[in-house]
Amino acid sequence: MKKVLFISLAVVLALSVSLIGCEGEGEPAVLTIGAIYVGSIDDAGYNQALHDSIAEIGDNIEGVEIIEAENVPENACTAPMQLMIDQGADLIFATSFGYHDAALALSVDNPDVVFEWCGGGSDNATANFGTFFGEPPNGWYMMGMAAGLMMIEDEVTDPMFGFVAAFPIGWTRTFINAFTLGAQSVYAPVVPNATAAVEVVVAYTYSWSDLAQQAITTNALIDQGADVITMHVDAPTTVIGTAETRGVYSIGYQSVEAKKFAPLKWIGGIGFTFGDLLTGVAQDVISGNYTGANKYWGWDEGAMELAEWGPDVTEAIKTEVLDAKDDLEAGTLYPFTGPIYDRDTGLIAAIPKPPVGDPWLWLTANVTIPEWMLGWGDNFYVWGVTGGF
Amino acid sequence: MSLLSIVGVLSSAIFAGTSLLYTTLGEVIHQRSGIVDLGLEGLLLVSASTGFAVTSVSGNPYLGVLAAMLAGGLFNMVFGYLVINRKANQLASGLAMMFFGFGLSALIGNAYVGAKIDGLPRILLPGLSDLPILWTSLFKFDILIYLAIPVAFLVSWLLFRTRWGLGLRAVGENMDAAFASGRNPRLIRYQALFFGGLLAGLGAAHLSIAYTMSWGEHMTAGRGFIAVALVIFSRWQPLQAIVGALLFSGAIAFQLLLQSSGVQVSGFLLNTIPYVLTILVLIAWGGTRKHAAPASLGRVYYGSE
Repeated sequence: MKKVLFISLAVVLALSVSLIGCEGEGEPAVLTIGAIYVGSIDDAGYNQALHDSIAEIGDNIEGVEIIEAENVPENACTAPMQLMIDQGADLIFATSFGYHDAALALSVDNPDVVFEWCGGGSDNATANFGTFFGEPPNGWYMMGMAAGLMMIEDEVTDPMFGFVAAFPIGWTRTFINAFTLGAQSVYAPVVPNATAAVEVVVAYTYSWSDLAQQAITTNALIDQGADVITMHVDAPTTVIGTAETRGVYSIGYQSVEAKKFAPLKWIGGIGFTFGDLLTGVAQDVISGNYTGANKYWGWDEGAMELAEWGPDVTEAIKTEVLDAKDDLEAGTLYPFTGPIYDRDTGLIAAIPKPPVGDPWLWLTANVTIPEWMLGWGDNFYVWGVTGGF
Repeated sequence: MSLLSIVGVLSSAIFAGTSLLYTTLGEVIHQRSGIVDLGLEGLLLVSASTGFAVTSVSGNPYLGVLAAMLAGGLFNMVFGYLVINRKANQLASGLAMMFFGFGLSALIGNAYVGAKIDGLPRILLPGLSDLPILWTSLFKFDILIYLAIPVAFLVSWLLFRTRWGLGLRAVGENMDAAFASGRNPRLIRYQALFFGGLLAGLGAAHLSIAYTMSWGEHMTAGRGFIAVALVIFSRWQPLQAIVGALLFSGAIAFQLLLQSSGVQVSGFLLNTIPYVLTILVLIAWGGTRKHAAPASLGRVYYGSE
């Protein structure tokens, strides 16, 4: 009996190992792209947005072959990328924040393969390594405006917005701040130590994908009086669905597909739409003109888009938000125009906009940043944000 | 704390505690027969993904619940083969099954991650239809929630008032004595694993089909292990498991309420409240001889051949 078991085990192992190097028959591809994702490609969130963008490259260019690996953990991503290189990948998209170091290391060892990392805050750019990201804070500012305008429309006097977040990292705080500032901008100017016109309460679930915890957190925020719920977690579906069952408005993030989970109470959302821009990158790789750069694509370049509006949003609100969008794209409006008030220490000098032509640098703990960037959203909350200690 | 907040904590405790209760009941049955099932986490994930997939494909949530239960029972049959027939170490086998469950559930659920399903219908408690939706949504429970406490009573009756339950507990206390009295310890342990797997699968089904109505990898986030702890907390008594499950889920909901009310304590510390509470209660209750673990818990049965 044991002998049979051991033999069959050995056969199974041998088969699975031999299948690794298998390739199909067919014409050689113009470009072979490899992409790794930290989650599922149909999660109606970040990973789906990236997947859809990369799939568009295949639609736009003939003869592109795409290899994808989902649910690749961040601390074990070198092997899948190496596997894709062995299968002939010329361009690798490392789509999650934690893939950065492994991708950079592999790019040094594989100078013929181009690596593109999705995320902000890196200043590494070599002949075959580049980064790209959008400008979510601008989008969050617009969503804050939309939420605030909906409250004015519904004549809610003391609006409270609930923000379900995973971890208190720099990105999340920046998004919360931008959202709050956007909401406050449609009310009277904020004065410190006075009651904030708009309150944003943030609660952390300490997990990117603990769905039951997200449901409980959403309910807790709603029971505290939240009128609109939004989130920064991996996949927004549970938070939005739970808000819908309670009859509370919701705003989505990461992918523009999430509206179907809240057909009645959806206000709007923002999502990543890198398709055309990534097609440009792919064409550079094909033509041999690629040079690595830290790219922050603006709203005017189509890197992010507003999701479809919900049924309760009036035309006036849409117009006002779209006008703000034009101003943000043109550079005449800037979410962090001063005065900004830190809720703990008081006034922060207005955070200056970086000089024209320089890329945005969102703060992460490891990046050496110029002095004018100190205080940028990473370690403070603006006045009006509650919770999140 | 407004009335809405307090009622909300109770509602969340019931919603989140139901799946925990079913899982704990399943594990109580396992442990009463002397088997420590550390693979619960994997079982929950496999059941949740199977139930969600079947619901998504067929459009029928009841079919999904049934599929989840069966998946749980069958998963435990594999575990049973390892610990009963092959006489492997229970703890190690359980952990191996857990990792197996991680992978299998991800495979099953992969195509259904962003899918939208119509979960189990929710029925409002009678007499409350005049309240606004903000309130009524707190009291709309699905059938699995209504059945949770009756099922706990059923398990208690099965364990303590039937011959089958007597045989099961006998196997958990002293397998050789049970064998000498004419029972088949192996068969009884298999039955315990299957029945417990059905119950745990029911808990997982509630989580993915009725409560969150979505599937994501690792969505149970350690609830399998919490159930194992709650079994000890409830001293292997199904009725006390009700208290344990409600207390733990209530503590989770309460700490999130504290976070949402802007209390000036670090969220990381608040997150530990449910676990600290469990330990405190355990210390307060202490241990007694009457409520000790089944004597053969974790022991492999080698038979008398």
